[in-house]
Amino acid sequence: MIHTLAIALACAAFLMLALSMKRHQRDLVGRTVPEARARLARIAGWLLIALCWALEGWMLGPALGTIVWIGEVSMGAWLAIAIINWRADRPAR
Amino acid sequence: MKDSLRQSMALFHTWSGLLLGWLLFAMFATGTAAYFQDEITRWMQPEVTGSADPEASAQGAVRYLNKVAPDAISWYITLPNGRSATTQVYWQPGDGTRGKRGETSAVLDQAGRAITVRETSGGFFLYRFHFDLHYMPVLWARYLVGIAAMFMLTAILSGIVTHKKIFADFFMLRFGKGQRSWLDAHNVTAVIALPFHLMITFTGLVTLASMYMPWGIAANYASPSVFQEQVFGREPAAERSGRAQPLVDLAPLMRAASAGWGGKQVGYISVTNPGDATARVLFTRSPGAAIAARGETAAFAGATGKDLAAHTASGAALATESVMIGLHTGRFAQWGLRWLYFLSGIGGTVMVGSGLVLWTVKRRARLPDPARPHFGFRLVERLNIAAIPGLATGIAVYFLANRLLPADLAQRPDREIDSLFLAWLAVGLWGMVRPAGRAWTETLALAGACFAAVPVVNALTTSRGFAASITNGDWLFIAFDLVMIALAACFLHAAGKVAQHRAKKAAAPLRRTSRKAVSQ
Repeated sequence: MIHTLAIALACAAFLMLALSMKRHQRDLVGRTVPEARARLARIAGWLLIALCWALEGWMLGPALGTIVWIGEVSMGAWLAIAIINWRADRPAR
Repeated sequence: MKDSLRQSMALFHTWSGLLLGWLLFAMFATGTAAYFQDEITRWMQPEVTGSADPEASAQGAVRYLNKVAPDAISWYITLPNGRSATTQVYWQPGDGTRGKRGETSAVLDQAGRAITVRETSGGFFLYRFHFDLHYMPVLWARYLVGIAAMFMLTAILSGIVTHKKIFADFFMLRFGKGQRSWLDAHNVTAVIALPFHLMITFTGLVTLASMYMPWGIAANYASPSVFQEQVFGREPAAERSGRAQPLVDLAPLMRAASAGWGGKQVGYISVTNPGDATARVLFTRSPGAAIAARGETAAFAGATGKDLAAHTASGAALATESVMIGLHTGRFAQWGLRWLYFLSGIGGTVMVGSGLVLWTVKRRARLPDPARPHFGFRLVERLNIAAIPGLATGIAVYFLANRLLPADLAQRPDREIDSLFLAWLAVGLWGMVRPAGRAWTETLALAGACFAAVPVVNALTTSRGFAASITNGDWLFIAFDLVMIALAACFLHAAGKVAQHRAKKAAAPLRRTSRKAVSQ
């Protein structure tokens, strides 16, 4: 279960990072995001990725934790890409 | 300056990727499958059910080997673990001959009875093909694979330089935009699992490093065997004394060895001079118990059970190598991480495949006469068809052959493997004789149909079909069927897309020419 949470965290992290990028903002929230908010999203994204690593490191130890973390971060990124594409495909509001 | 570096890297990336891309695709695909080699083997031996206890299996294996090869020079026993339910045994005959494959090895159940119902190489073949290829000397294959891996590593590094907007395009995956979409797919699959790709390629080279770079050993040791002896402490085989003395019960020794490793289980057993007073038993830790691939060992006297306090190889370099090989093979991974490995491997396969297709997509637009491309272009296109849908069809047919070939067929494992290559060859030839566009649709659809047939044929020929697996909670068989269906869906979808694309192109030749006029 904790690993599902970790993948969800990683996915949220990448969505935050996408939100900090101009070209994905309209797809994700339907409007552009002010620069200050975008910076906040970027920081939150990186923090979530770090948190994910801390979680796995704490659960499995630094060696195995790091390996699992890399795999889960990749999964999270895939999910984020799927979500971005799904949002972008919807007819414009 | 910066741009010229990028251009030269792009050039290098394009051509090094193309030259060995077909081999790399096969290595990635079979290597990915090999993460589930034990599970594939279990699927390919549906008669074997349940799980086996390692200690009882060791005792069973000794009973079998005492009967079949009592005077062998040595026995090698691979014990079952959480993932497999069978014991693999291999022995070196006492007369010093090497013996044919199949005559000096066997697969046993927990009680030590040989399993002969459905002989197969199972997932092990896909694993071996990943670095030994087939129908060629292993040594050549490993050099070839090593060259490919080296190119892969340089292709990844040059690819990173070539990729202009690695962060800006991180999430970019646009569909239905022709060349742009192929580039997106290539970039995204490469970047998302970049740590995996770098790790897997580098550690892959490490697994055979002493073969690719023998000079370190050559400069410091009289011969490779001297190096082996000094580092791993392999003692030269003691002469048989001629005094027969039965082997002690291995179960208590296994427990002692395991206790010495902090509870990690025994994975392999080798016995030299079995049945003799000089017998020696060597236990190696199970590869599933820790990341490092080279397991700890423990040696005991076979006749008395005395702990021989064997020399264990150690040192930072060896530990590094051991962990790297462990990372590559992923034998330590529990099922969750194993799936992540598998998915990353699929990503890598798609990366190589999309790169190969990209080469042709990019050049098709620039062909002087798209209807009649030059020889090089046609060759690449045909080889792509042979490599991608061809191998996929071959693997599906390998699984189908396992279910459809008669159980008592002579050399059954070899016939299964031959089926894979015959199907692969057939698709390759088909791709040569048909118009390229049509060949893509047809071969992709064929691969999809073959994968879709696997669960159906499995349900018809065994009692472990999808419905039965669901009621029995047989997760391995459920997952296998689901992966086959997913692969079938992907290939059929791809076939449909190609057909659609071709139809669109055929319907709008006018639009295409007018657009070309505009771009010029």
